[in-house]
Amino acid sequence: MKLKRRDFIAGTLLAGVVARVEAVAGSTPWYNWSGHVNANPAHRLRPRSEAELAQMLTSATAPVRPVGSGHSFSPLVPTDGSLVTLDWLAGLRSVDEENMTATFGAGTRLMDIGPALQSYNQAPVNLPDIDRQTIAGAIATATHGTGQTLGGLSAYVTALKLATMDGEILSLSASDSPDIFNAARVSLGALGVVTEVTFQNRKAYRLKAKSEVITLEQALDHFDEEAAAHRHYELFPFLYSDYTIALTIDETTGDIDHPPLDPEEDAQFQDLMSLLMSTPAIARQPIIDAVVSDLPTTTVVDESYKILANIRNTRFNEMEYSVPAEAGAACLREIVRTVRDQKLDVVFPLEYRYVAADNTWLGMHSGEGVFAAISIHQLAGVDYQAYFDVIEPIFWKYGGRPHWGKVHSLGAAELKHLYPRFSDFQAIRQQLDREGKLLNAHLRRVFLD
Amino acid sequence: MPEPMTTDQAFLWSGSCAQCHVSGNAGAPVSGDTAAWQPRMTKGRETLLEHTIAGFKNMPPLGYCMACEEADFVTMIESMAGTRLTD
Repeated sequence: MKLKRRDFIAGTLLAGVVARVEAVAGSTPWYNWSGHVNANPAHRLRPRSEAELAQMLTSATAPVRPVGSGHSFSPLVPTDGSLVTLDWLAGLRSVDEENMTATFGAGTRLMDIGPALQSYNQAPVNLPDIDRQTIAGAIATATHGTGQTLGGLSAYVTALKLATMDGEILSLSASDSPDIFNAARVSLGALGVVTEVTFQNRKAYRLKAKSEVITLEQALDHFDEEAAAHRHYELFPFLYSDYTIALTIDETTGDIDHPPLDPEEDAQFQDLMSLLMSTPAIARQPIIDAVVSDLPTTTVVDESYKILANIRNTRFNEMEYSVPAEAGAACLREIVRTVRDQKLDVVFPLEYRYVAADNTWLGMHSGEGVFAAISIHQLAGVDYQAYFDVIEPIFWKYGGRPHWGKVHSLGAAELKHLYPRFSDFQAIRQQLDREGKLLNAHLRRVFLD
Repeated sequence: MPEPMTTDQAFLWSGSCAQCHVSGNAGAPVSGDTAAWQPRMTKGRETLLEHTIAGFKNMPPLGYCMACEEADFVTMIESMAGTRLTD
């Protein structure tokens, strides 16, 4: 079976079963990407301009929730009131070639940023790894890529516009209302609706990505030196296995060499996942080790944005926490050990990477130093609760902060201790949304004690 | 013959459904390939709407079109398939 690393990452959906939400008359249901989060919004707002959006917000039925691509696994979006879509607030709006910045409509998908900037010889400094998210959704949840010297997407925001519930359009930057700006760069759609974002970019560049299989212990023993030596370094540890995929990415001036995924390999991946799902957890290791150890080392070269972010065909639900980097290896080892000791039924690999700190108020990586972001996944359509409930306390033990867009159980009582600027954010939130019209049930739990 | 997409629907389609239904990514039936669409269309309007809205196999819920309503999806499906949906 000649699978490649990319097959495990892009993959093919297993036939997950998602029960359809009973539609409310006149309402098209809404589901998130995994199908697990759903709603029946009474109104779908489709503003074609900032001015139209601002007017809509003044009279929209609460809860008012903006939606990007629906890639969050946490219930940030559900509303039975007004769903605000950003499809018409998209596209490249302006480029500053001298300062290497560019301004996009907030509804722009990440996959469209790179191509739009190519003709200006600019490229994003870094990108999260799923390319279908919108800019607004990605920065709202502090979505990030990999790299111990590289921050999440919000770290590269130099300005943004925010439509408020009072019908104003605020223009924000580090020099123009800096407090609201630093709050708004990661704000869960709880301050208003972001309509436009300006990014600091860099000169266009190419990346070479090498994926190889090594033992997890070897990878963790050398993780710090590898993360320091390479622009990006990331692990995808297999559960019930001694192995991990190690992904190393560095800049290159080499020729592009990036063949498309082979559909036959996709089918082989699906067969493997089906086999594993039907095999008792304690009996999986020989199968996984045999397949994984046979995976070839592969190298691809392409424009940076084509390496950093891609489509995901396999749908899943995810929990991710970020812990201080010095605690990362111990946290990961405990997760791997716990899954095996408790015979948890999961086949999806983990994810382990470093991210640089930033100066946002509510980003998971706000503060100083370097963070280790650790992700666990369960296939969409498969109940994840038992697995996530066992692992989440491990993250807490190591001082972790949950990814805002992924499954977590924390509320205001816990979150206020994780973020020094939490109360400052609350003050701005209450100032901009006095009636709490932007709060759905999840956000009430996140922000209200 | 199916109704053509409105300008708004075409805009929404280009940013969502077209991502897979033009290239055939992940096994999606290609827009205009009536032979590929025919077995899907025999499942009827309700089934195809359910698949589109709730997601089906590699297709995410709503096909990434958060702004689309049921009527939009009907027109888009019929346009891609080249034939009307049946009840």
